[in-house]
Amino acid sequence: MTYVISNNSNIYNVQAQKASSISSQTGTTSYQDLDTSDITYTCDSSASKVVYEYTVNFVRTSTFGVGSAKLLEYNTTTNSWEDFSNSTYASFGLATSSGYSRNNYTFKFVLDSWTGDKQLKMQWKMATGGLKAHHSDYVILINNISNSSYLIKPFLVVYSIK
Amino acid sequence: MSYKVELKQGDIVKVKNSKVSSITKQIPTMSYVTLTGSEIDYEPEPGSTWVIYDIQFLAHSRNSQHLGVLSVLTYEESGSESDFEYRYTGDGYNDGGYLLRYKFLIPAYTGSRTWRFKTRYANGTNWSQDYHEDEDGNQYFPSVTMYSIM
Repeated sequence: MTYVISNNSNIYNVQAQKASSISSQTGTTSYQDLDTSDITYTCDSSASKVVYEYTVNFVRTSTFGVGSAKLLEYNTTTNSWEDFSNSTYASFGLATSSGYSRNNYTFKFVLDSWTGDKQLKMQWKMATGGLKAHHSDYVILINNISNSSYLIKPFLVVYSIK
Repeated sequence: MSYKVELKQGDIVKVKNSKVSSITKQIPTMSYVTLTGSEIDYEPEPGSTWVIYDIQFLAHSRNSQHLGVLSVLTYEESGSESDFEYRYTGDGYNDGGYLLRYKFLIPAYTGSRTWRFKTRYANGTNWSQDYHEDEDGNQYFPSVTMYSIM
């Protein structure tokens, strides 16, 4: 006889998505959508929190750069995007002269749960200097060839916590 | 009598950690070298869609000038090594110290692979870094977590 038991993890309903192809995106002083950050996530009544984790690369376009990012939700009543809250903002980069900021970031937001569907996405803009998203600046491949056009595909992981 | 765990879409399963029991300062070179503590053998749960490789480690500028962590996640399968994805973290004139965390979202595969995170520097020692110790010699254990997403 075989008994079937439920997987009892308190992390569940994990949804993951990754860009299949990507282009670099240069930062401006206006907010722009971040590729692959848009998801409609269905939350059930067992969840206490929802964790949204978006991984993306930013590199300098000038000698320094600091960007701002934020989480948004779609308001189905007004049919428009709104900031998720005033505590789901993040900044990143280096303002130091000749700081040459290049890094890979995972933005993690722990959100109160909801019931049903909610559409979420992230946007970013420049605060000072210049950055571009998804570019690596350059990498050196394992065969020792330098690649200055290497792009890093962003991805998103969202899950519920009981 | 036997038991079978019922897995549903969106479950996290087969969580595996690699963590060293001791660590010393690691100095990269101009060739890719495996970061201590980054190697892990992993076979995804059958039926899974994605696998996560999640690594965290300490790095700081070697000569109190710049930082240039060129890195690649590789996997060995049937005796052959391939690159999966590259990362590059760098700064200039910042004497930077970083607790670096890189996540990789890997399409699920069949069979076992040996995953390694390798790093090097590029432009001379002024653009390089030391790992696992801060500037006072205090240590931070690198850690890797892998898991499957159904």
